[in-house]
Amino acid sequence: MSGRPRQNGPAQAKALQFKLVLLGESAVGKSSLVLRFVKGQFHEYQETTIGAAFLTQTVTVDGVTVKFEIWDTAGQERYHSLAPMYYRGAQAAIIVYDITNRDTFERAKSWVKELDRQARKDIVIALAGNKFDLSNKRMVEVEEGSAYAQEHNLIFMETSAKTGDNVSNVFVEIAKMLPKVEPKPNNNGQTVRIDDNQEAQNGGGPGCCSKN
Amino acid sequence: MTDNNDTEELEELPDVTKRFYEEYDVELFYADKGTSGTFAVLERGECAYIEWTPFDSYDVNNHMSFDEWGVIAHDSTKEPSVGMPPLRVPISTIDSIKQEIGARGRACIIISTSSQRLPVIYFPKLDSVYRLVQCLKRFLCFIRERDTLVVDHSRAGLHKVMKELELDGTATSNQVYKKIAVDFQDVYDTTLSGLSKVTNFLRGSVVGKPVSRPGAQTSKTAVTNPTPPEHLCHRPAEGDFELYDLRKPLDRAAPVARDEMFTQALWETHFDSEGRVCRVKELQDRIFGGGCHPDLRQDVWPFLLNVYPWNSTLEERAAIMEQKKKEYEVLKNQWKSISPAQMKRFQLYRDREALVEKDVLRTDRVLEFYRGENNPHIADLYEMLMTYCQYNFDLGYVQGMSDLLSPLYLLFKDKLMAFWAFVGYMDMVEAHFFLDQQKIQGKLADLSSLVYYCDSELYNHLEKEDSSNFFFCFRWLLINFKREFRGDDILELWEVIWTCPYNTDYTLFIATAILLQERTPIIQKKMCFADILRYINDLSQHIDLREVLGNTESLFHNIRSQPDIPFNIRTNILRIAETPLSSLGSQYNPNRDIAEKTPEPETADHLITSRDLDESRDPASLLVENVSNMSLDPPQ
Ligand SMILES: Nc1nc2c(ncn2[C@@H]2O[C@H](COP(=O)(O)OP(=O)(O)O)[C@@H](O)[C@H]2O)c(=O)[nH]1
Ligand SMILES: [Mg+2]
Repeated sequence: MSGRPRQNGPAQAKALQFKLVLLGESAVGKSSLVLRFVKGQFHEYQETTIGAAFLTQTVTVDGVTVKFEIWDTAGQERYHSLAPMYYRGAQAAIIVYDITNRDTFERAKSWVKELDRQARKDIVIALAGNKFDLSNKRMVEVEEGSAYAQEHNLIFMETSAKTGDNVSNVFVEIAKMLPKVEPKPNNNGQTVRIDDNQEAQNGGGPGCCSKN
Repeated sequence: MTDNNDTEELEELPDVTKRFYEEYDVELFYADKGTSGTFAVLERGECAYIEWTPFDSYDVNNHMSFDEWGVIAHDSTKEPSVGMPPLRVPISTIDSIKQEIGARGRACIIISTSSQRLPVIYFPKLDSVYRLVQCLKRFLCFIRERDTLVVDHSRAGLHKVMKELELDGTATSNQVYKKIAVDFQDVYDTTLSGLSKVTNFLRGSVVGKPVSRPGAQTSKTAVTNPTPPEHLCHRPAEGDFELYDLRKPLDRAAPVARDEMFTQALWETHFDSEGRVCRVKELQDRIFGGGCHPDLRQDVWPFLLNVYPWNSTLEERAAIMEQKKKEYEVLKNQWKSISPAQMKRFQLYRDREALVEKDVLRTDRVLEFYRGENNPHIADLYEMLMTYCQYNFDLGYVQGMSDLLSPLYLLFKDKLMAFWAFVGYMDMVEAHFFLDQQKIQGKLADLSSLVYYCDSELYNHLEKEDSSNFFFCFRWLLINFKREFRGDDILELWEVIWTCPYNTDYTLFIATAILLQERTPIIQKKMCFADILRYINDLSQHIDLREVLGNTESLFHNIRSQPDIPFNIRTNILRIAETPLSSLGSQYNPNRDIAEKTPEPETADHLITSRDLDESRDPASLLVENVSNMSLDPPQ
């Protein structure tokens, strides 16, 4: 649960791990996006998420393997008070709205604001306009979503958990934005760990190699 | 450490010469009020103390006189506007330390000295308490009696032993001495068993007399000859070492076998000539023990869920249903008659409606009854939930509620009955869905106390992994395990919860029983919070209900029969009438306020259950009646 990154040995070629949280109004498709990304499946009648769920999936970006530790949360406002527990310490977030439902877009904006205030300063946020397959019932224009994202420095994509469109792309784009391991050794002859920046920022952790 | 004026008395003492332990955010609880401060174990000259200093000693609104505490530093010339004064107790006066998990699952201790009991002291983590105990072992020799570490004043602690050792300079080889010194210096890093081994070694070798504790069956294994610690390390961690663990896990008892199902034939014997249900207690006990026959549920559940009173006649029930039918129509028409124009100005309604609509579409759609597009039963769920929003407007619809309604509708296949049964069910659990989440938080804290009591190794693991908030059980408790079992199993589980004859929240024991069943993989695979959450979520539909219910009942009886049930479990979970803790001999009663609020019956140690009280489930009457002789004390 804690946001502290796993301590991979510095020289190990193990996958880099990132904590990612999905946020957004109920029924926008958070669980469906995860299910598509992790298992390649889609359930028309995906049941509501009670409490939270945790899954993992790896992607390879530019030859670097990144493991996402994905936290899927319950969407209803009523359970809002539990959310900080899950986004605390997250290195990435996907804020999801449903393009056929304006209210969910407004709710997504309030999530962005909340993360700006409460989450890690270096958190990478993606805004996902989901249910792209229903664009004939669209209530939020692409331009609107992308303008808001640009303004707030977010990755933006319209996705469909149903068809799979853009789903893994969101994760890949996030992976690209996250601080990455240099494939070449640094001046210490060691591989710099992906979260070194963060640890240095936090006053240095056990895996910190900033004092050379 | 202190810079306020009411500590003049402290300044007369020698300065701190050594600091062994320090913990911030330690709260002292007195008269329902907690004050935060710093807790330390330190040495001033020749004498070692435990000291607690409040962060802010001036609290004008909450003056308390602590004159009667005696040992507490207190400036009597001060105006009575001083808050909690600092606390200082010479370690040599400590008689016992009792450990508990208090409110909201926090670790706390109650220290008794030769003259009194100190206020309850809350620590930020269980680990803080462990470290404290480790530290105090330098000065004191403890004998563990259940949750309480009792000081054996006839024997010296490690510190004293070390001093003797230093003076002697003989007794042991240099190598061993160094090893001990290292452990001694790094007490914070020393593991529990590591230090206790050293202590044992020292006690055996230096004090040179056999370790004997009254009542301990392990004294025969005491170390009487010097043995190098290396050898000790290879010995199984048992015998003497055990005395340093704060708790042993509760022994597992054999699961209670499930009874026969409650059948139609039996059910028919429970009616009088006018159709009243009689011998309700017996009936409930049977259902609790073996569940209802599936065909019988439609008939029995309206009683279990308070649609009908047990003592209603057949005729009365017809009238009740007639009445409920009308009421349902009224409530339904309230939301059905909202015009589109009105709706535009009615955000709350729109939000609720949208949520209900989305959720019924994804509730139990894998079941035949709800499967397929345009399934009319989905629309029925929608109607019932919308109607419930009118019935309980303050609560409205909260996610999870559709999970509670769906099995009821599947059972009754009748909207009217399903709706009112749902109302009865919601009356029991509505607090689960309140905005403040207090109910669920409280249940999670109670669960935490139970797991701590039953299996401290599991608890310690969870705490180490930042998981002792038990949030991975949130879903279990929110909707009474609905997602964890399917088919008849969830119905049987709910019946058991509704007919539980003990005056307790049985879901806590069910949850504990499941966790104990899963404790080995959780500990051995060193699961972190994320792993545990996934593991627990994945248990869904893979839990053997019979096994769980058997284990739950045996667990319940096992806990209830323990002589040392912690205060919190006794009072809040088992709801046993409580007398002030008196076994440790004290003037200070941390439970004074509680005792004043609740009239205390003479039957302090008697468990109150409705089983003892012939159909009475009113807690007030339970308190005044003289109840069973189910004593919690072990047979003398
Ligand atoms: N058409 C369509 N439906 C979707 C899509 N993603 C999710 N859904 C449906 O929307 C509903 C809610 O999805 P869910 O993943 O449970 O949302 P969550 O509450 O945000 O986790 C389900 O019925 C899904 O089948 C999508 O991309 N297209
Ligand atoms: Mg979900």
